[in-house]
Amino acid sequence: MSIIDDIIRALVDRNEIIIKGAITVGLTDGAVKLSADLRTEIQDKKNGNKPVARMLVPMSARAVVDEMVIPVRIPRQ
Amino acid sequence: MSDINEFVKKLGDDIGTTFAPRVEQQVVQTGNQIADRAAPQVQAFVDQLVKDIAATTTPKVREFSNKLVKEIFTTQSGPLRDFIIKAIQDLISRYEPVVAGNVHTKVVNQGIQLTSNDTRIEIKERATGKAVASLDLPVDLRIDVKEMTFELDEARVNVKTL
Repeated sequence: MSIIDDIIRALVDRNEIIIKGAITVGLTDGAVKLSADLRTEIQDKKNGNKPVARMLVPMSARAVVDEMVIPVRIPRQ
Repeated sequence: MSDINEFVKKLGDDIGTTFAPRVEQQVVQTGNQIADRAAPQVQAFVDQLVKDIAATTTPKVREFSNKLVKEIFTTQSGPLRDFIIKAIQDLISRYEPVVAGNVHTKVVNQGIQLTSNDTRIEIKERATGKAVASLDLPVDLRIDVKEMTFELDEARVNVKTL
């Protein structure tokens, strides 16, 4: 086993990742848009959950929705 | 493109053609029944009235008219009610309302837009399926959809080594 493996193993065993933030869903012309600002923090479990590193992850996505045609017939045939 | 006036006129014409003779027949029949029932009683009453004309006419006229009106209403309310019920039943069984068309739905800024240029109400004869009247129902509807925000309180990721 290499030193790198040992380092990774030690890091993984010792730390955990906390994710917080807000996700927003809305409608725009012809699409559903999704945006998020996620705050990620790596904490040291063996040192009273002391923060080791923080990351900001801004996200933006867009799902295009085409026009839909709904046939209407009342009563149903 | 038919408007509401044309729609109502066509439906009214068809109802008139189909149901007017029956209504007329029922009215004539009801009138004849009233006359048949009332005539002998009127004759008898007049004879009696001539005899007693001097003294006691007023109370008898009141009593007679009250009795006659009550009798007419009592005897005719049933047939009239039955006739109206039957007419409504026949109307419902004769005509079939149908809503038909295509609704176009698209996502717009902060909302959903529904439109249709071919949606219509059709009144059809149940037996033949023939359209009696048609009313266009153009649809132009917007449903506002506000943005939704989900707050992620905390997601805890634990990684395990293999």
